Amino acid sequence: MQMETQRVIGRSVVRKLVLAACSALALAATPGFVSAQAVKTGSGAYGDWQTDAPGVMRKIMPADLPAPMASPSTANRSKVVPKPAGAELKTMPGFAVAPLVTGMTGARVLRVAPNGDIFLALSRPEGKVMVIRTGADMSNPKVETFADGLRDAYGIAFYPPGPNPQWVYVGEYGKVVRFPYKNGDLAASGAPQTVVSDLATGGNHWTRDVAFSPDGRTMYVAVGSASNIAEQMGPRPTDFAAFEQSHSPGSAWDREEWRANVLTYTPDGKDKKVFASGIRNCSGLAVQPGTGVVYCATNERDLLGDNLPPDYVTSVQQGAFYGWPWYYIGDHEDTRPGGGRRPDLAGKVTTPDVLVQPHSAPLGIAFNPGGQFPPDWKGDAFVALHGSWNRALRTGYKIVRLPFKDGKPTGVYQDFVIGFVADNQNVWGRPVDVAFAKDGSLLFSDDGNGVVYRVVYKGE
Amino acid sequence: MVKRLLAHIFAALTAFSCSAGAAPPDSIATKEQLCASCHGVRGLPSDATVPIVWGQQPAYLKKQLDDYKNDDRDSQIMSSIAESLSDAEVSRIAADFGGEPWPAEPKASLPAAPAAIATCKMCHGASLTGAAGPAGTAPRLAGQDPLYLIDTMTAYANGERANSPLMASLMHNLSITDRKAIAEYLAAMR
Repeated sequence: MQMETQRVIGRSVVRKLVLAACSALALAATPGFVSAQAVKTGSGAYGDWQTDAPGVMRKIMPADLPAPMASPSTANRSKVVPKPAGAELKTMPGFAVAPLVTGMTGARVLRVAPNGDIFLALSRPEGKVMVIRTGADMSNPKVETFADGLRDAYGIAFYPPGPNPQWVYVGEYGKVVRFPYKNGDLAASGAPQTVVSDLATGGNHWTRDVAFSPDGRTMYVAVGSASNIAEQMGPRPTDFAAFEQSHSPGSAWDREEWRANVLTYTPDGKDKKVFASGIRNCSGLAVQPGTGVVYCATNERDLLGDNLPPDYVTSVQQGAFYGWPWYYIGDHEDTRPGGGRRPDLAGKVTTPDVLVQPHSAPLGIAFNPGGQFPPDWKGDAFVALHGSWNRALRTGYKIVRLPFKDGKPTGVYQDFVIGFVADNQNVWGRPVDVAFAKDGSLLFSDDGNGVVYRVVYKGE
Repeated sequence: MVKRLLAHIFAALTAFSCSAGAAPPDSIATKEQLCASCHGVRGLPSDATVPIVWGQQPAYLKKQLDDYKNDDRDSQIMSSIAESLSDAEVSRIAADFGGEPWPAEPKASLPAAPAAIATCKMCHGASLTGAAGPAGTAPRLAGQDPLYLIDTMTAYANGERANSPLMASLMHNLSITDRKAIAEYLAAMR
């Protein structure tokens, strides 16, 4: 198995020079929303777990993207190990992070009920929804099983929105179900009702997050793609105009039909529509309080190299197309997907709001309602990065803060909790979801070692 | 040398704009480099849960890659990678890796074989190096990592791996003690 090492090295040197040239041009053109001293931009915004530190701010812009295969594609799976002796999580000054509960194998989605009870989905291998109830000052947590017998239990949403929900909706394999509920319930008081029975199944992306609009009229369900980039997708459906009409422009077909999008239904599961298309894997769905704007924490594609393309966190506009599979990050074309090229979509691709280091794997997002963290952090979003496999040097495995200004993302993201990466092979945690507890502290789940952590703010 | 490098840079700058799109096609060598990053540059994976593929039965390797492509086997990493391979590339990669030498030699003497091994030999061959048969090509087991073997037996037993109904029913009937004994015996055959 001879490798053409010499030619490969020559090509990569040339690509590095092209990247440097592109980045220099982009840096010169980048306007600064926030202080240029504090925020890393351009090629300096890229790094790996070794350049992470609490407080570090980065802003990646679409012009900062390197060429495809500027670095070769690498498979570098992380190995989850028990917490090594002496390892600890680090967070920003004035904050403290500690485990709240342990032993939660498969800990994934976290949602807080109006009464403060913490709901946690244990997705795999068992499909369960747990409730964590704590005492005063969130001491003495007790865990009960709210529901079990689910498969790939994921999204959790209380309905109707507001102080007195009557149902707990759960997104799972192939469906959305709902359990009867009233404030204070620690176990489902009745059998689940199936609200949606036709969610796509199979393939790479199995998470199904669920959320409601503030007026309770719309249920959002996020469905990720089956494949990486639809390379096996066949020719387009015959009455293509009708397909685009019923599925929203940019939607893919075959195994990808009704996938790589955010769907809407009524709370009864009727009137299915594509809300926005071309979103490869919106693993984390959140509705911004006050505005009702939908946000996605999204995983973009693999096998284009270490630093391409960025994952992203974005507001999701109704009817918008975010590129997958034929484009990424606006009009960057990917010619590998099946189904034929799409020049008709060029210029119609919405660019996401916040670009995150490629392969970080953002899985969950929550908005800070205020009440504990610093006052000017009210309204900021927090995102859990599960961590990379398709990158030579590991990245992700942390919680980041996304500063917002006047209700909109600034494009900046900041390292908030780091420390799970022990070395380039071993990690002792993989963050999945974030949620704010009733007291304003931040919770996050780790499906590596089955822990729910809590971050409190004690002040400077 | 510098002049040639400058020529390369000029060619690259004209070929790739800063907001470029099309990814250049990868040679088979580059693709196999990707495989090596988990399966080992010299055939020995650094992670015990990643199987040895050097010297494995080519027909078995081809089936697994096809299964990942068709969603009959479920793994985020392997599915993305298999999806990116054409049928011709799958056959080529299976042949290339199958043609490499198995990276570890079996010991001359072995511990006593557990009774259940007789069943395994019926499909996997008398020396457990794999064999073609009516149910498909059974892979080489001799010298595979014990952790990988136990994980695989468990995955068949609990339905996590579902691309061989025969293996699923056979593994169902094995206790955890049996599995461990078999895995240890097989690993000793390194």
